[in-house]
Amino acid sequence: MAIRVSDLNAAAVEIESISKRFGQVGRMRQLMPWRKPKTPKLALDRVSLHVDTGRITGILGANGSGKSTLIRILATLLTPDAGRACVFGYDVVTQAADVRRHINRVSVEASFFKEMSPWENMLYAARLYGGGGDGTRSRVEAMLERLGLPLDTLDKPMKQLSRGQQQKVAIARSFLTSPSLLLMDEPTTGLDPRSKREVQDLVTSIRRDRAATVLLCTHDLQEAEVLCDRVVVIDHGRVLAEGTPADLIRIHAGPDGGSLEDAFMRLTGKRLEEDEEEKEE
Amino acid sequence: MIGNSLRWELNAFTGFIERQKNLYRRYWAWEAVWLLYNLVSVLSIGYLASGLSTLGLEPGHSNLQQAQLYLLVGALLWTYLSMVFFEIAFAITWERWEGTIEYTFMAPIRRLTHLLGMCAASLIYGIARAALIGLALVFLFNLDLSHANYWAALAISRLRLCRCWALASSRRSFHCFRRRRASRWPSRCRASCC
Repeated sequence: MAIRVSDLNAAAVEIESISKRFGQVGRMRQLMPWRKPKTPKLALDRVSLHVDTGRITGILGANGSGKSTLIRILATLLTPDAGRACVFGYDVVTQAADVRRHINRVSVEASFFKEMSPWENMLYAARLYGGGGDGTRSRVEAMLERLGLPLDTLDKPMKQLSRGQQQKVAIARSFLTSPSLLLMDEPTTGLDPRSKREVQDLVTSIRRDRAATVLLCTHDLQEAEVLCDRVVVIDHGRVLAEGTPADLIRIHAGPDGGSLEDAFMRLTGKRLEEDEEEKEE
Repeated sequence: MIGNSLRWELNAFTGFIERQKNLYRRYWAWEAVWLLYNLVSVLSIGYLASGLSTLGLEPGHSNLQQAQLYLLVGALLWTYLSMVFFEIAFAITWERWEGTIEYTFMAPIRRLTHLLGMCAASLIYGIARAALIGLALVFLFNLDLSHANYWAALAISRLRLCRCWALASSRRSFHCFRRRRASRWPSRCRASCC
């Protein structure tokens, strides 16, 4: 059922001035005056974005910058308060069913039935996406082998797998459904260097083989520099800059040149690690 | 086009039944505990019915046997319905607990398929469990089922399921509502329909 991006003329993602605010006083909250009111937080502030088909676009931003909210909106899990977002020309609010046929998402938390095995979880995923027939097992095995996951883990409960192994299964699951747009929300967080490299290689090769579009949210600036054709820097729900990594470095890293990290630091006024530390405190 | 769409939904429907089967198998120890719990509940009612003789009815009297059978069948039906109710009502809760709710809701299938798949899985499992408990009752209380109308029993269990389904669905919808409370109401209406 998944379509080839080459069959599509529309941009993979077209976002027009979307905003999203959390913690608003809704009708239910008004009926419960005893509950402590939440401070409204503006997660996305009139964000506009254009993602071409067949590219890997990175979204760089610190914790709470709005990256995951953006991904959730594109995954039809949240609706924007204002603005419009389209995936391959389908509106994420009014044509959510059409959008869902073309996307898959890998989140930072591998969402699985922990008692079930990787095979059972992947078979379930395949069924939801119109698959699950003959040959699914061999496809799963090939995918996991490519990711460097031992095949004897295929029938063990997920809870017995390490965090890195679980994440690899999550990535394999997303590739299994052959999405035209892959939404990856910090997919390599928590992986060891070798696993991280394997996942990065897989992302590159899968994109090359299938010409799939990848939207990659990451904290890892080096990863963004290596993998992404374009990078969007986002902070406090606003797009600060976008362009190729080379362009961002040239324009924003300073007169002496530098890295993407330098460019990010100049754009946001702080380092990613500082945000991590703030959050921990 | 409609055939493709129907086949797609049917595939997902099968997926939910398959997933539930795998979950019951993986949580077999807990399932055994709940089965035992249900069995003890039904048995306690049966043995209480046996004690009706202390109210003046003689053991072996036809009225006593009828009362005992009536209570046992009622307890069995209650066990079956409560199990089905919880399976459907907690479908969302469990997915939230496992952390898979976003993945399921992001899938290109209708919410109705999800609900019907869960209902079918709980119906099959509920009947299997009730049959096991019923078998235990036959042996422990020497029930004579030679005149039993199994088809009528099956029909009643399904009819009862409709009421149970409505109740459980409302609870399930409440969980959906809570989960998506951050979203706007009109969009939520649309989402629940597609």
